[in-house]
Amino acid sequence: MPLDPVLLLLDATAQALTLLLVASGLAVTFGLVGVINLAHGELLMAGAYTVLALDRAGLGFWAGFALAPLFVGLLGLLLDLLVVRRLRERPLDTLLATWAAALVIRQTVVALFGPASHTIQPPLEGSVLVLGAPYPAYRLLVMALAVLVTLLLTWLLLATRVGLMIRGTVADRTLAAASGLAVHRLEAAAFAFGAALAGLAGAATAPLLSIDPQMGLGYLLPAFLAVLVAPAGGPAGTAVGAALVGGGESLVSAFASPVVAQLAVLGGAVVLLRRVAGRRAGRER
Amino acid sequence: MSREPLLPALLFWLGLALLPLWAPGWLLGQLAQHLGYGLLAMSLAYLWGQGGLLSFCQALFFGAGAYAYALAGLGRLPLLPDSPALGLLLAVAVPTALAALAGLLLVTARVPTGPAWAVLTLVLGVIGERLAVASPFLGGSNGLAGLPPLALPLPGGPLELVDPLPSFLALLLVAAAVQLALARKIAAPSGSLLRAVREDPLRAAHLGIDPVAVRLRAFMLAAAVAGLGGGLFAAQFGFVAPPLLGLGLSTEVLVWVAVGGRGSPLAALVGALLVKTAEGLLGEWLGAGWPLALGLLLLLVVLLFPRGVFGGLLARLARPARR
Amino acid sequence: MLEVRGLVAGYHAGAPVVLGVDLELAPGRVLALMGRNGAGKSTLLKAILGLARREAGSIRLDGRGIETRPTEWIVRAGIGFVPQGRGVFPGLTVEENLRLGGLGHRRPVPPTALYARFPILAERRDRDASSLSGGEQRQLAIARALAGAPRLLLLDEPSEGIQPSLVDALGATLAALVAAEGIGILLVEQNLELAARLADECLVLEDGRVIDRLPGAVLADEPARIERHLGL
Repeated sequence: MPLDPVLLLLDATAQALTLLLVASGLAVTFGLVGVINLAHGELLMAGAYTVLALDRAGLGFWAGFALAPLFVGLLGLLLDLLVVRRLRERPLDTLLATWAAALVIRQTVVALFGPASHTIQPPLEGSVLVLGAPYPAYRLLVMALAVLVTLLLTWLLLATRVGLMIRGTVADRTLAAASGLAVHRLEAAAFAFGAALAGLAGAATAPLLSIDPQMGLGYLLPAFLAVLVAPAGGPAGTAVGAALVGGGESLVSAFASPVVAQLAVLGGAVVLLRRVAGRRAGRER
Repeated sequence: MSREPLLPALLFWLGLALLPLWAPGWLLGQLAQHLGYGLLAMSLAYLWGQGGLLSFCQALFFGAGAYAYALAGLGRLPLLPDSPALGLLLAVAVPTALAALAGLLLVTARVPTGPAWAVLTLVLGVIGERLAVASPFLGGSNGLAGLPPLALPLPGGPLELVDPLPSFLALLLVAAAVQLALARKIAAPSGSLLRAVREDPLRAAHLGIDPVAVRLRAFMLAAAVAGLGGGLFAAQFGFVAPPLLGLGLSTEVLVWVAVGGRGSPLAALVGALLVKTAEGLLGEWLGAGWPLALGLLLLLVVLLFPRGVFGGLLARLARPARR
Repeated sequence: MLEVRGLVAGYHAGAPVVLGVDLELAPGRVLALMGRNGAGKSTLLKAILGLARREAGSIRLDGRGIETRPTEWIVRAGIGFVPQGRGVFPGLTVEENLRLGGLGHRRPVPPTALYARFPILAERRDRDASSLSGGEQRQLAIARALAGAPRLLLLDEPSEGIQPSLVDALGATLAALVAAEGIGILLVEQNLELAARLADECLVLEDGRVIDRLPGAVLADEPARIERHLGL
């Protein structure tokens, strides 16, 4: 199959931006609140299943798309109250507990929807010409959404009161409390917001994937790699991470098998992690 | 915990050894398989509890051991005879070699241990499972069946480990030997080195200890023990398939070690036996709800019993009057 | 206003560092805590704020017990804190630091009012707080704490790492604050001169207990009395 450079570029950009959308929630919960939530993939899945459920109920795609962030945001709040808050000082235990929560959410979905996979039609059909190549319209919409969400996050962080409070809490949690900031409430709100973003991303990408209970992991790992190799916290850093991981995997898998692509991404992630970890450790000191 | 108490361990093994006096054959056969899982649990307890390395892909090495035994036993390895004994040897050697390779990425590259490292093991686990499913050499998603059993070379003639009783006793002996050996290793000076690296790698390095070498050795030893468990398991199960190295089993072993207690390999083994036995009893009743129950169990244990149900107990037995 | 009775506190359960301390702080008064390193002075401050474990004793603000309250509640009730060391939010600008200090408080002091008291900060308003010099960061830390309009200010070694001329200026600023706004100050200090200049009363701590109470005047007139306690 001849490799069309425009399509290659479009695909890589699409994968990078989709990953950016998927990882944006994680950028908030991990990059800002500092929690490693292994149930993040399941939160994305919950967003996708919300769309599926409402679509099956005859309410169409957009109803699900609107409801998903609210529903998954609440789910995230529950997760924070029951699990994450108690394990604040214990990161490895947080990993285990959120992994367990992922399992619970996954099995609940199996109980409710069964183990089979489903698909839903994109709400926008047809394709658009980009640089002379026809590209699916809905994919382009999702890419635009990714950019929009990233800009929104940046604005929220830099230009609002809450954003300032969160940045302060991230910079120095103890000092934030000693300045009168309600640190626990801020972190809970940020975590729930990250979950809502996951719900949004899950809903938006649902028409692009096969929806099944095991899909969480496929979301989670690239998202984590993107956030881990991000050179800084916050939306801009995540964008770079997503570009590297998503774009990288897409480009490599055009020339080799997907497994090789994954291994390449893993190797690259390890290399970058070394450098980033050193820089982060220096900053926290 | 730096010293596992000897007496409770001996009593435990003795108690298990007396089981055949009253337990039915099917139970012994099941326990023999569970003891294979027990070796996997002990390997993770060592890696995580002593080394501080939380791995989400430990079953990868268990499965690798199982597959190595299968390939050797079925004669599918070029230039090598089809021999179960060789299979068992490879069940230890191959995972160790794999660990050395993975160690290049995970340990030598000096990725800081902790959550980031754990996520990388998760990725590795996914890749491993996908490779196994995609590989016709490994039997693809159907796996390999018809594995020959192990045979003990006894003076009166080789005894094939097919019946439950000899299988159980053989596994019991191996598990006990490995547990006691691990306990000795933990109490030895090298155990302190590993714990020192776990607690403060920078300070250890300043004392002249090489954290990378120490961790790599621990990673490879854990893989060897897991592989041994896998090989022995495969020898009895007669069949290997991708789930034996997959994330599902890796999650299960996390549950066993969390329940039993990662501070002590013996506690982790007990955790494995308990959870597996519970699965046998409740599995039928819960059916598809078992994974959900497992998830809830892990959640509860992490929130309420961070040192495991038995870990704390054994630690208190080891140092009764310490305060 | 602030009443502490029999406080026993530390960082790890069962290993208290403060072993039973009584103190009172009234508005418009300055109380200095002095003593050798490890005497428990910082721990005492942190325990009042809920940043260390209180094992026994009572802490009352305006007659109400605050021992079980979270740190942010205590701070919002009117106790400002200038911690030892950095005391500013890195990565945020000076102006953001000052705004953040006031957010969450009922009647925050706007940055403009704070710049009047600390003019050097006005010149640095858009710079990253961590790029400021040591003395400037200390001023920013105090200004940040003042942004919440506290009635009481707790300072942990404000003169540490600051050059002597700036310590003088710091003392003047703090004295002016007390005179103008009636703030009560609880000051942990190793710098005898600063303490002598500001304190109405001085408590000497050793091994977690108060071993001497001196009126501020004594600090200035008879420094030898305290130098003994400080191991000078």
